[in-house]
Amino acid sequence: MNANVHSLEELIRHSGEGWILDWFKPREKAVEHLKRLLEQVNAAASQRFPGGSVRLAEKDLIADYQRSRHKVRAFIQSMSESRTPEMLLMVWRVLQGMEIERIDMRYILGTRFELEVALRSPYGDPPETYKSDDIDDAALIRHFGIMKMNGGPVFDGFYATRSER
Amino acid sequence: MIGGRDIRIGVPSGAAALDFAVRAIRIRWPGAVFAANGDVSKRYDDLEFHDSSEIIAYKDRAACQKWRAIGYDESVKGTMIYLISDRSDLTIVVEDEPSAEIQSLVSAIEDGLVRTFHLFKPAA
Repeated sequence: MNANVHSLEELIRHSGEGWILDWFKPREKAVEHLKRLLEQVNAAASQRFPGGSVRLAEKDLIADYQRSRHKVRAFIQSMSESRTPEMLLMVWRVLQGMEIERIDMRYILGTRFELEVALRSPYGDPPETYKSDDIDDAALIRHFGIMKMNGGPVFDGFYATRSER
Repeated sequence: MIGGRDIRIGVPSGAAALDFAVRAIRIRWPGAVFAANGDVSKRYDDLEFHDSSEIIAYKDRAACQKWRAIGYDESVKGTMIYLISDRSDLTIVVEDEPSAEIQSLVSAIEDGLVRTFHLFKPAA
């Protein structure tokens, strides 16, 4: 059943993540901030995929919400945690089906944080690498699905970490 | 496969758990083919995930064709898993006597769901 949502704000509230808007300071700037961040992610996608194969405008997010709500909800949560367009694009690519091939993280107390996530395509598309030096992006790692396959470690998928409020 | 065996797992979101299971199968069976609503989808990103969805995962295209042409016989044993999501659970349907590979895959899904979604009480 299609959700009756027409804007980013309606989408966020319908997904159960309205607290992101309510807790933002200043609250009246929340939607503006998230819209601008989404535009930055979309711009990063256009730069990396000039053919337009990956689009992440407000209307694209709403359309995907009708297909798989849990994915868009997980993405909305990631927007409350990260302000790095490149890393949010990485999240979206994982939600689209890219596999997590490698994660490198380097941290030195009070001095340095580096995160690099390499994605591979199960369909033969070129590999993709995403980097950040903002420790806020460490929060994204806890959304990855965790499993052991034949005893080997696997991160795969990206999931909401909180119950609906 | 007569009847099959249902493995029901209580989860916070049936759609997310279904997604997780499909991705786990794709890791184990890189050539997996998925069918939903009667259509065979070539790719993961063709699939929709809802709280009330059914997805059939075939090990590869050959297995899919055989299953759809003749149904179950010994030659397709261990090449199909049936997934059903509900609002608060995921049901994995496998053969009455699943192969070691299927058992291992189902265990990986169950354990992975616990790790990822912090489940402690599988549904009875």
